[in-house]
Amino acid sequence: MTFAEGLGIFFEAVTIAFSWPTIGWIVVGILVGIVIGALPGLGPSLGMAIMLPLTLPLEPVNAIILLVSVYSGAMYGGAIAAILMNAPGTSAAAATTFDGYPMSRRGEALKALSISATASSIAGFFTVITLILLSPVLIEVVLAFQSPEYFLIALLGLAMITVISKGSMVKGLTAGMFGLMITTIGTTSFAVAPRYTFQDQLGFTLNDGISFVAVLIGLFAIAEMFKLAGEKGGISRGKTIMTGSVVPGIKSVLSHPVTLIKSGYIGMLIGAIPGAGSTVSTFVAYGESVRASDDPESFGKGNEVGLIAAESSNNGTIGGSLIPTLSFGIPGSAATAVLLGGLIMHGLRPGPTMFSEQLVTTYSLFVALLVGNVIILFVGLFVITRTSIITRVDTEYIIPIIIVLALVGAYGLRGPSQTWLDIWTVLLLGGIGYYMKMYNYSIIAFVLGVVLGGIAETNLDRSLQLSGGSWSIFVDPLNQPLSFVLVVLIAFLLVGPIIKPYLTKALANR
Amino acid sequence: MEKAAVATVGLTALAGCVGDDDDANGDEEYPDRSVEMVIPFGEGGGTDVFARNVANAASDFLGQSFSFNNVTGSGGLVGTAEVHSAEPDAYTLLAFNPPSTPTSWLIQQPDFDIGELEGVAIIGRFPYIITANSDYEVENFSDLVDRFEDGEFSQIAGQGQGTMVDVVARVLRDEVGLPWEDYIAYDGGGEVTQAVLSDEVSIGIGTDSGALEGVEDGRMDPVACIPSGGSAVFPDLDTIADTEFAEEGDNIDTLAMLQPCYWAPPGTPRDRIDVVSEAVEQGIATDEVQAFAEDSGNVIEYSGPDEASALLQEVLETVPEVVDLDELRQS
Repeated sequence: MTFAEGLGIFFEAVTIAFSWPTIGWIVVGILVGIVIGALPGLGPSLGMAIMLPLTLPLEPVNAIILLVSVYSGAMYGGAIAAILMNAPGTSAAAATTFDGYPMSRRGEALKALSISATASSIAGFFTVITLILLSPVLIEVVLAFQSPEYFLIALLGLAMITVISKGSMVKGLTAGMFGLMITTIGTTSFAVAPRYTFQDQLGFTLNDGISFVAVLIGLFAIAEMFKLAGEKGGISRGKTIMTGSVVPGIKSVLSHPVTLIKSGYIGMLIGAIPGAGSTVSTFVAYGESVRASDDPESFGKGNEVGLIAAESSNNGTIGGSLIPTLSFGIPGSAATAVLLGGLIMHGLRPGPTMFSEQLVTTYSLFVALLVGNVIILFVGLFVITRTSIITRVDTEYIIPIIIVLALVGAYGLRGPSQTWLDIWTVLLLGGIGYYMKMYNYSIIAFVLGVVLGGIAETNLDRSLQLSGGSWSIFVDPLNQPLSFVLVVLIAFLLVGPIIKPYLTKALANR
Repeated sequence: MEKAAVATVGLTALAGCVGDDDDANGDEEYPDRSVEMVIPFGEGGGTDVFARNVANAASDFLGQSFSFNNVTGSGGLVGTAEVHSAEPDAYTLLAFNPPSTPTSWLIQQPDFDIGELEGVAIIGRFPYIITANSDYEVENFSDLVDRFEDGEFSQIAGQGQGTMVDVVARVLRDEVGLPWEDYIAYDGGGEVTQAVLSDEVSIGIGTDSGALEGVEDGRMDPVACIPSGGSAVFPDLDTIADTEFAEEGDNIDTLAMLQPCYWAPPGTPRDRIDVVSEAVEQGIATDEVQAFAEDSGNVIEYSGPDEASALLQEVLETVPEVVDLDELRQS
């Protein structure tokens, strides 16, 4: 296909995306997505699953565009409650709480929300453009990642504990290990054997493990509500001017182009790797922004750069995650699995043809994402920022509302047999999170453990099975160059902070 | 793809002749409200998409809509248990695909008898096939066996441990003679395809429609269709029964063919089951369902309540005969 042909198909896709009713479905999808994403525990996959049967009467292209728009809207929407109330609407928004919520506490909710809308939409925009240009090459990138690389990516995320957690390293590592331990509960992935199911203690078994989304809801939303219960006034402690403009937020994003671009592409690449997804990518991007900063101590206390990193990477993952889904029918996450179902339900078969004969459909999905990002920008800046008023409302009203929403979110997480387990998880982790904060145990380290433990374990097991038990599968620069590079990166992350003072000293003395 | 449609339409037309004429005499009251269909797997998964498409087409003939309820957990057994104990009035139905869910039941042994469920209809079938990374140019099943014996290959990829694919892999090794040493488990069918495409594991087991994308891309070859029923997606693909390694009617025929079905709670009146079953048969014959079959590469064809019940019993008898369930539980 020549460039001119590609361009022709692209313009045809633009025409489809802007035709009626397609453009209407993009708007509906984005708005529904934002609302669903903003509710704690209801992520993009649930939102898409709810919409899926409703798409049956639609034209296939419109149906898929609607689903993708819900996906995109929900990924952005997750940030709203994360920033305003420390209650991440989606697991991908957990990293948004780290600096977004402290900004709200300082009275800068409006600025934080406008940063989130701007960073999400710009990163969403340029990653999708990149995908349109690079999609054939990205398929090769996807296939270059195998089980050893997945394990090492998870390990890289865990190594970020040393960068992100502040204060006592022993406390940071303890919190990280506690997170990892929680992921060991349930039926093991590599043998159908129960592990730490606590049947004798509980009277029932934890065969399906602990839901990490329930853990996140408890840890962030509930723990923060416990904390707020001891305070007077609203969430915002600063003197806030709620009628302020959105301009400082936009300026802040534009004055950090390196963080924006780097985090957007980290999101896109990790998003393209099946199984890793947006949660991992936001932590890696956040960790990288902390590492690259001159002032790492200010992260977690309302540093705008941290917020930009988290928000740009999570919208960057959307485009990336479509690549394996569309090219091989390999869904990388729960959300893309539902999308895949939607494709099949509407007779659109994923496969290489999506990038040849069906290219116009694929491009119209991408164009819909571009349009969606523009909608996110406008809705985010001019509608969502109004919700910052919530941070002024007395916590007497906020706390019960958030606790109810969090529990409703937990109620809908898994099947009926797990409902009570998930609700207790949310409440118990709320208590644990409260005390962890009080005694300065890193919540971020704990979350990294909970999110990455399962991915790390399954892929470590599988890698060793593939290599017949030999660890050389991870350090084989000739046959597995990618894993070797990852190992070097991890070593750099772990040893870097120790060597850095000596290096700086040596360089200063020269 | 077009060949898939021809095969399907032919079989459906045939199935149409076997229909029951008596249901006009049945329960005239039924159904006077919408019917709940419990799908014990997640939204957007294979079982879900299949069950919804056919049921939506059937609802036009049933005169009532279906409301779908995805009740997931324990390999489909949570939703299955729920329907097993539901009121037997045919207002609660269930969708799962033998042999997979009955096998999960045999392995997990929950405290209800899945064999008591009443069959409503078999609505389709899709076989497991063996795939290979195309770099190895595996010619056919005999070539594959030779190369496993020579030690060129030792691993085979499949979805999950203690699952239907695991059972199929064991039967391939123990009864058919494919001497693999390591079964490498992945979380989903898509991951297995990815493993074969990227040559993490050179040989894999998966459904025929799941393999289509990789085969069209040219990075993956279909090597053999495991059951003798053949594949509608790859109509020219040899089955194992075409070689000297297996014969038609062997256990592998039942085990390696997934057959989406609808079920009703134990004790549901037969006349109501017949009403639903007939609507399903008519729904399957519609152009939209057959177009879906063609697009998705699945065979959608109807068989009645008796065939569905017989299939369930056959699976429950065959699986414990061919694999050591204790070994599967501990693996």
